[in-house]
Amino acid sequence: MVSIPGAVGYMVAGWDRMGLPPFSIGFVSIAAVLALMPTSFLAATLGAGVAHHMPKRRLELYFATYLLMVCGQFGSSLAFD
Amino acid sequence: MSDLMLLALILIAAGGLSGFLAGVFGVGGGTVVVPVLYEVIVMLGVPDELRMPLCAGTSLALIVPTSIASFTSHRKTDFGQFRFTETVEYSDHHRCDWRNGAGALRTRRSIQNRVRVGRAAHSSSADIPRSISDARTGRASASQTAVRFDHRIVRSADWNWRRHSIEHDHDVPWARNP
Repeated sequence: MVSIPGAVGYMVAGWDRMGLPPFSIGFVSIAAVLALMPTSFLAATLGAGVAHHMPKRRLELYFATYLLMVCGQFGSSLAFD
Repeated sequence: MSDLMLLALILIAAGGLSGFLAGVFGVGGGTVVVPVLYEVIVMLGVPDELRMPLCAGTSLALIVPTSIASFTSHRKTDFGQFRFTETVEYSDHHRCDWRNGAGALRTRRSIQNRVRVGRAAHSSSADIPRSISDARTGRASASQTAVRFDHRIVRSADWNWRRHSIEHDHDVPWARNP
């Protein structure tokens, strides 16, 4: 639940900034959160179920793949930006 | 209008993907949401210097409900999956040995390093499985980790409460009496 103070911090930090899109509290766009939340919520439940039906080893390998992908993305953004 | 539809579709897909990742790996979906939002926000005409903090803040706010959903779902299944190995030993002389076994277990537990969850496994001696095959066929409703014949532990198994079956049925070399 580290994200709660983080989000509150962003709300406070951007409280009276100009030029933010409508339906925003500080730097938190409520519209975007509301748009993303339902699918994210359902998919998280689904994902947890999937994780439990998977052998530990395979989960580890998938996680490693995911981390490598993120790593590659960072690497490419460093190289080509 | 079609722009708005596209926007909604992108957001729905991003939400789904980030939620899925959060559920499976327990990582926040920030790696997905932030880049997507960063591109999407251009359409809304947000000044450049506000784009990144807006993405980060929104992503953080989104992680809260997502991780709650993931946590509750994991907790629901975890209680079934956490191996509730009941470490009770059985023998053919059930009643007295069931106590002995429970006592003996306490020392053995440290060796086995297993979790014992307090649950009254047996109300009557009829419930006590004589062998692993008994437990497997469902004749006995009890869970077991060790089956003892003549005070000698020959087999050990973990009872998986979620699948209601024995897994890791294996020999117990350390328990073999010389």
